[in-house]
Amino acid sequence: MKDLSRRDFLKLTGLATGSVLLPGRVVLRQPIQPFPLRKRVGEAYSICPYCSVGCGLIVATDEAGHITNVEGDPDHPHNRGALDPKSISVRQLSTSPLRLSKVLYRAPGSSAWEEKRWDWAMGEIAKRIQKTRNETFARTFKVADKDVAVNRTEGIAWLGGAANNNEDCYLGSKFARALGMVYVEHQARI
Amino acid sequence: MKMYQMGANARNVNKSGDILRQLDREYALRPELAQTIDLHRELIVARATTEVPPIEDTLTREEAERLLNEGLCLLRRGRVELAGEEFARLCVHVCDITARHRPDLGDQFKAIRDLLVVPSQSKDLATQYLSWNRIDLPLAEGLDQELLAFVLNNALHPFLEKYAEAMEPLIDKERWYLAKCPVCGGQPDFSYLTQESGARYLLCSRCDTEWPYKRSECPFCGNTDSKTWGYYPSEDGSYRLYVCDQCGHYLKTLDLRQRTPDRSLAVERILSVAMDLTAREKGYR
Repeated sequence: MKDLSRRDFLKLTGLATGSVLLPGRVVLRQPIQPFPLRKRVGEAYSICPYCSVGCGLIVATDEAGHITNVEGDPDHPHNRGALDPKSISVRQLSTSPLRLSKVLYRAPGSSAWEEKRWDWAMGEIAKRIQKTRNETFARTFKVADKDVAVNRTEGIAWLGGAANNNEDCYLGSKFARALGMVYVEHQARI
Repeated sequence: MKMYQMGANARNVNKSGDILRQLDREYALRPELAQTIDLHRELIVARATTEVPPIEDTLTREEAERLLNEGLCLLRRGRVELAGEEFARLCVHVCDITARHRPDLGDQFKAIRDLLVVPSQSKDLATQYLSWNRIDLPLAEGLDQELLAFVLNNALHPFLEKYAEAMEPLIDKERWYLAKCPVCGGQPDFSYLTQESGARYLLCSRCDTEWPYKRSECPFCGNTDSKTWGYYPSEDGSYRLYVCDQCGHYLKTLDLRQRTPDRSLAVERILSVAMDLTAREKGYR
């Protein structure tokens, strides 16, 4: 490594910042301990998924991308940094050991959970929706001795929640009504 | 035309007195910063004892609102009255103080002193510096821009601070949220997170005005990517060294949720030079 002149060394570290002159390390009576550069933290903006207020969050992550802290975003107009108990603990959506990472199925009458594949689960859900819908579908309903066309199913309900965005809710409600569902609700209305 | 009478720099002397007392307290506790504190102590005294004339021309509330709505600072285009001779005298004094404390930089400060000793010249150079944050004139060729900025920031400080005190009531800071000082257009060189909500406030490197800014965004380039804009915490968690890998800037930050504020920001700025040294050694600026 090339030997540095004192001037070059000072140039490398920078001489001043704003109105503060930085001390030259080589001329100090006692060395200044360097600031520790360990555990770099990244901060990202996010939104709490729990209710329709949509409070702003700042999510801190370590260098491996793991969440280390969640706090309210002080600049967000909805909450200005405040958070309720649910949103304060939102990190457990990612970090909780109780979080499911596999599809679990309990057959009717059984007391045991079985691990299943995603493609099996999706197919099974589609089959059961179709079956229930077909078994409960009513083409007409009698009103004052007249058969009125209704084309509906009362065997399935659709419930949206705060974690669904506008686009999710639009597609969900279209899908539900296309199948003939009439019990279409959302957590925000309750 | 409005007149603001600030008799005998009384407010500045009182404020400087507090800063000096805090520095004196730290002098005994932090021997490794003794030389840094000695130097800046003298500079603060020099600034506090400068005669700053009353502000004769300032803005109406409507004019201020119009400028701020357009994202323009209130002291745009160098509308700062620098009282020629007093400003040049302070420039020379800053150079002399610093050259005495740092003989290793003596030649550079002598060159800067020669440039700023003429009142009309120092005033013109300061006006350019206020507008562009650097001086690109043949006169200043070969001078270290950081040292030149250091001298000008210290010499401008008492004048800008007086304007800041007069103009701050005209500013609705909640509507500013830009990365430059709403008073003088200066860049920040320090920030803090409030005790109440962790909101970020920036501190102007020139006039010590404080204003709010977005918490998780680099004020130098607007970067919000958590992979390239982040911080290193101090051992006790009270300081954060924010760094941006996109633009290469750093920002020293004090988290007031982790420590009771017992020192002024002007003192924190001086005492935290270890953060500057470490950031610079890593290539940040």
